[in-house]
Amino acid sequence: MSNLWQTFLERRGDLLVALGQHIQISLVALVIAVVIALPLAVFSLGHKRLANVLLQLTGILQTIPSLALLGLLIPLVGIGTTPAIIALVVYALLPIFQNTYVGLSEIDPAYEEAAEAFGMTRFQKLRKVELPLAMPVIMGGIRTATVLIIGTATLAALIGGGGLGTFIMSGINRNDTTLTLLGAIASAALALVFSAGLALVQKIRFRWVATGLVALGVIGGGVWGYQALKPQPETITIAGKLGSEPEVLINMYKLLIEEVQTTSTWC
Amino acid sequence: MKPNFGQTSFLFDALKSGKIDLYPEFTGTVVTSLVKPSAKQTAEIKQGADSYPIANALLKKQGLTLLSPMKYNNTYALVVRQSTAKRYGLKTIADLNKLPNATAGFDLEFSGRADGYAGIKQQYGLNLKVNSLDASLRYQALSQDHVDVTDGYSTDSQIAQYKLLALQDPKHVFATYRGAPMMKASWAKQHPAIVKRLNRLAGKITETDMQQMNYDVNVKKQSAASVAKHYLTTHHLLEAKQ
Repeated sequence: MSNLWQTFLERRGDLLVALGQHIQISLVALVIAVVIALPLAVFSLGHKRLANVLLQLTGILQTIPSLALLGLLIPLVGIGTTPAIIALVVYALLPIFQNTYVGLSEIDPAYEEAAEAFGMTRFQKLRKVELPLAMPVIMGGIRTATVLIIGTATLAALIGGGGLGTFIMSGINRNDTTLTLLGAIASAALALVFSAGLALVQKIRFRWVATGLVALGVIGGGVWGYQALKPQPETITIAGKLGSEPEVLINMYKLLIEEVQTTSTWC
Repeated sequence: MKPNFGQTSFLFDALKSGKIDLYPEFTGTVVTSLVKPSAKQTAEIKQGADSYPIANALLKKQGLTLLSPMKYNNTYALVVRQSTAKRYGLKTIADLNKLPNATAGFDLEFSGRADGYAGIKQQYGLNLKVNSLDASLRYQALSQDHVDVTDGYSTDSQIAQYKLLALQDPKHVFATYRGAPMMKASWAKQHPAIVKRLNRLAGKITETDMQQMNYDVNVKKQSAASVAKHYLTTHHLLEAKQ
């Protein structure tokens, strides 16, 4: 236990960075998954066959082993956070879609009839009656998806995406239980905090939640877009396998290569 | 820099699709998993031929190149305590026959593999009393005198940590795994200055050096960056800064 505390003190800087990356990856994936799954579920309400197809499809996506999915994504989108986020979105679709669809379709028809009697349009009915009634079930789905995403995001470390998985994987590789524990405890705590936060959000009015989600999406998209558009200096990417030996080697490569980079800027 | 990448196949695919520019790979891994050597080449490797030219020639067909490897060979090794080695004059695996009533602790995979204990036993005529031990326990068991010899990897940090010695394998029962930077051939052509710098590591870094560096990172918790810099500076592989 004292060992764990000491490792924590030694590595708290790295842990904080990993935690930040983990939160960023998870949030972006969650927002994208909600933005895709929610409207899809609403749209498929009147189309039972489409809903069934989509349920099956998201179910099938769920069964792809995460390592296989990451392996398939590398040739398409490369390495780093992008493939990790795509994989997480894929896994989060099912719980959100399923809960939204079920929540909306199991509303007592009496409410619907009452709403129609008031002369509400389709959109008004959705906003004022259906979504508020189904909200607990929908939020349940989002919470499930969140916990799932935070847990699975540890795999991002395998493809250079960073996050708390870096600690877990290095710990396993170096047979250093304290590192693994640090990563695992931090990611479990993060899942609990997020889940509790979402439970709180549930009590707030729907309009606020929707505004918050949109704002988060815009900010996230803006930051991402800025990073993507910002002119990048020509960089050389060096990678290495898990473990201390490859890490030492790629640091040597980096030092040797940087020698050329500095001399070339002199010319 | 992207450390702690998971699997070999991920890195290999990422390299081929140009998502990364280079990564350190082992000759042994190339010939066993990444390319398909002919039956003749496999036989040559088994007889102890250098696997580097074969690996490099086969990689060329895929548009890749492996620079000249470093000195150390990261492969299976039989490990003994330094004190035992001194007392009985052990240097190679064959010398284990000098050890009376030798007991060994091998992990299950090593005991079973043809290029593991089975091959060693046949080639060196050993007769050890073998206990199977979990991989994570064998170094502890060795350092506490419960067994006289275990299997390990020749650059494991525990060898430095517990004052152990990896015995030599002159009959090349264990395949050679020598590390070198791997990259696209076209990339190497475009960056000759970088290739020249990376080649300074060719033939450098002995097994003992690597054991020590792994020890510094894994046990003494030094950062990989400072360990790497220390090695390069003390071996005068970096140009002096003006």
